[in-house]
Amino acid sequence: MAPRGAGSLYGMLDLLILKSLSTSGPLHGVEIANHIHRISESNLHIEEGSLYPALHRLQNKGFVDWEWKSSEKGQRAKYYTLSPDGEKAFQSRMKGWIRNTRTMLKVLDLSLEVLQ
Amino acid sequence: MSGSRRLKREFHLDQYGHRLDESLDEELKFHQEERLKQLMQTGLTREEAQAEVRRLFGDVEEIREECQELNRGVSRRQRRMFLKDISLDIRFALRTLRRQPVFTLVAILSLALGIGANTAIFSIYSSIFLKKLPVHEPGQLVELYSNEPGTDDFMEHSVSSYPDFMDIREQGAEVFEDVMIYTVTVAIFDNGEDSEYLFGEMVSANYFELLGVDPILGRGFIEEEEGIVGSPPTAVIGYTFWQNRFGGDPGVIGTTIPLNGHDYTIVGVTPKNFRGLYPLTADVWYPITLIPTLHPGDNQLSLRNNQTFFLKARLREDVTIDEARVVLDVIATRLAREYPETNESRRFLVLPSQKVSIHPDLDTVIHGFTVFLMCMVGLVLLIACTNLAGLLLARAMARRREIGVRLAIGASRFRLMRQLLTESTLLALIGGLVGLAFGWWLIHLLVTFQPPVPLPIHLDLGINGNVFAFTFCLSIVTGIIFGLLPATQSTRPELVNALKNADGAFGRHLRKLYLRNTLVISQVAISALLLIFSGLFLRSLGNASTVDAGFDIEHGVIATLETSESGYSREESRMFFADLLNRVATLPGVVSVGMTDQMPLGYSISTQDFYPVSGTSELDAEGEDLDYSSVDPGYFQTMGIPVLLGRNFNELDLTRAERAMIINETMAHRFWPDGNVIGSQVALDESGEALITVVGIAEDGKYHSLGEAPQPFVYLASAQQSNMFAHVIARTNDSASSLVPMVRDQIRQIDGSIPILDIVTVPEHLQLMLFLPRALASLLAGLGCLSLILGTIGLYGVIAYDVSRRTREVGIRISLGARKSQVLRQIVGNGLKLVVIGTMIGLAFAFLTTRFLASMLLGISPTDTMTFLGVFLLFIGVAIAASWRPAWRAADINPIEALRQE
Repeated sequence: MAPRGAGSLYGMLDLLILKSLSTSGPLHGVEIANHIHRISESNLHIEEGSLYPALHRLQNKGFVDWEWKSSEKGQRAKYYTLSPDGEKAFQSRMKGWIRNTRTMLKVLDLSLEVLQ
Repeated sequence: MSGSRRLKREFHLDQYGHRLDESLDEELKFHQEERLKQLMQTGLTREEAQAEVRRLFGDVEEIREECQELNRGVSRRQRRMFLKDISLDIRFALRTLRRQPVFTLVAILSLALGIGANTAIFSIYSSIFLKKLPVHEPGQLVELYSNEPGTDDFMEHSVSSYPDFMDIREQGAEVFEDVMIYTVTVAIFDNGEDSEYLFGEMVSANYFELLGVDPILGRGFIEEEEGIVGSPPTAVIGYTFWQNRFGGDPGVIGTTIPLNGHDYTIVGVTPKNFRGLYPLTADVWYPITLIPTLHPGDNQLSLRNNQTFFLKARLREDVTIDEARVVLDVIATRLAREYPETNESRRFLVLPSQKVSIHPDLDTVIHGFTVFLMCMVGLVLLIACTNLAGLLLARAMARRREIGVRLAIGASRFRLMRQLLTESTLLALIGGLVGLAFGWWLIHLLVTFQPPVPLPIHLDLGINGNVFAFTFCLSIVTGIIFGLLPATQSTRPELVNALKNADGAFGRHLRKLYLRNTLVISQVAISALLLIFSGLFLRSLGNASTVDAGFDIEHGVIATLETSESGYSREESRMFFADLLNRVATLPGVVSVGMTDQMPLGYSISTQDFYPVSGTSELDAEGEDLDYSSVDPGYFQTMGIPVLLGRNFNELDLTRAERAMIINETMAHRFWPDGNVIGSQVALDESGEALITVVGIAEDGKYHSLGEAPQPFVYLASAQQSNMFAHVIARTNDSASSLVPMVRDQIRQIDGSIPILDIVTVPEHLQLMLFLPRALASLLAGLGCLSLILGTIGLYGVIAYDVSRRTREVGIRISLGARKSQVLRQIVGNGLKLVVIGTMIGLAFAFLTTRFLASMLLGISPTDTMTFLGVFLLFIGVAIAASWRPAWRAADINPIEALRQE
């Protein structure tokens, strides 16, 4: 499992998934993992198993829709897309994260440039 | 999210309806395989790649569990919300109901009565048709019948003979594991202190083993011991009988029980839930092979033509019923060849036992009758429902404003309807619960109500799982039925009008009014119908007691005895009865004694062919089949039947070679129109050799039922008949209850062990005749009263509501000068109008349908004017009573207040 704790990436998993789906959907599980890996320039290797509970959570909340499609090889794969509710949630969560980060920066008396 | 999508999500379904958790495995597998492929493409070997995938993935089990936990959490949350909604609804409903205690009470009462009656009738249906025999593998049991050649399909499945049974058992071994034979019987238990009739079964020794019923005490019958003729009498007794008679004493095994004048050794006790193979509870079983022992000379078991027994068989495990049919046909053909005189056209029929409730040819009839009863009580429940629908509608109208506000705020119509339906269903469930108690009480009444037949009738009625489920479902359905109409009507989203408390479109208001009025009218109609039925029956019953039955005896004792069971010869039997008659005649208070083999208006019939002798009478040359009974000289005086012409029987008729008979008036007029009856002769057989002389003419009477037309009847001299069975009658001037033990005593003094079938006083015997019509009349009267009560309540509700709605209007009219009396008249008039219409409809229906009951009605026409008029007036009275109070209140309205009121 991805390590838990404050500031960990665990809570961010949802955001990452939502972002992936927002940028390019529909994707199935493997593709989402690859996408995250690619975009983060190989900095993020999420434990792939933890992807699925997160996807489940998002499904239950109604943020993602899904569709079973047969791939070219004839196997069934579940493709996820962002639902309208999910799009809204993504935007609001992103804004929330930005807000938090700004606050943290102020508290830690850092500026964005330092992070580069 | 669209509605269907949301629904799918809520039930954890994907697009195609597959459950989410099942597809998870597939998804994980796919993911792993993809990863594997990708890794291998980067150059890793398969094993390395697999290891890497495992590392990446982590613990698959954990993943699965976590997802499942998530799903469970969601469902749990959903369920909680649903339950919260429901509990809110229920609490709100309870509060509303509590605020209107009168309405609630009335509603619950009506429902309880209606549902309770249905419960009781259903339990009867269930005990006959839904009962499961507590035997081993009932699916393998089959019923065997012999056919009745020459009859049409009705009663084609007939009983069988003992020799046929033995052949089937022997020759059918390849399809039948075993075959058994049984019949129903009544055993007389008489231990010297008291006697009672026991319902029992005479069975083959393999009965308990074949059925798979294990006695809880002792054993069943053993083939080697009880299967042969000549073995000592043994019996198995039933659980209830064991508890009642022996207090459940386990030491009862091995002791003897006096039945039918013999001592039977008790060898076993049946389990509590086994009551025999008939709908009536059996108390005792004994081997059928005892018949020749107990009745010397009785050759029932050896006659191949004596078809009186039932057969059951157990199919071998892999044998189908069609294979059994084939084998039975072979056996039948073989027997037809070997015994052409008896079996020439006999076939054997087989049916699965589970398809037969009582008898294949009777089942439909009994089923139909029971269903008819269920419809009747269903009608009563319907009245209650329409009642409640009307009341709820009224209340809903009163809550228009509240509902309008809620709709305006944004409550969904569905939600509101659900709320209202919850109220009505809750009401119905409470009513159902009370109804269950009421039904239980009714069943208790039915069970303890012993018809005055000298037979023990205990039906296995009670509130079992079926009945409970039925009541529960009925309550819910009832609640929805009567709640649906008001719920839909009152949540129509016409908000503006509701908020304004105006009446809305004139047309819509009218429609609602018509709806309620129609409900009331239909209630009144149904009630009127039921009341007419019960009224007719009650009057018929009243007539029954005044019909001249042709005999006149008020006080006395009737003792019924049979000598054949005790091994008496004909001569000994004759002496026994002569002795008894002499003894009873000397008892205090007895003014006359007599004897007959058949009581008038009893349930048995004996007939005999009579042939004319050389043109002396109008009897049919082919023989006239007439009813008769054998009586002694004292009979006519004891029973109060006058002998109008000629003479009575006397002592000389015993020794005289010439046989004597007394006929009744109808017979005399019919067959001797020219009048020369006395001394005329008649033959008892075709050859004309057995002659019998008419010595007297007795007054006409009723012989089988009080409603019968006059019919010819013959009395033969019992001295010349030598009865083995007789009713001994002692006539007294006063109450005879003290005489009963004295008569018993006299009997015992002559023979200490002869079974006494019955000793009753004359009034008790008369009750017997009237049992059926009385029971039916009571039932209908009860239903009629019930419907009347419900109808009245409904009527009151409608009128009261009507008045409350028109307070304003009435106020205006009063202020404009209308007098009290005018207001009264108008309101009462409205109520009357409804009732009159309803009653007329009900009476019209009754007029058309009562003619089918004509045969059951005594001395009263099915369209009897008085009854119809009576019911009509009754309802007028009810209408006035119901509308009086609201009308009075309306007339007292202060016009100013009324106008102010909304």
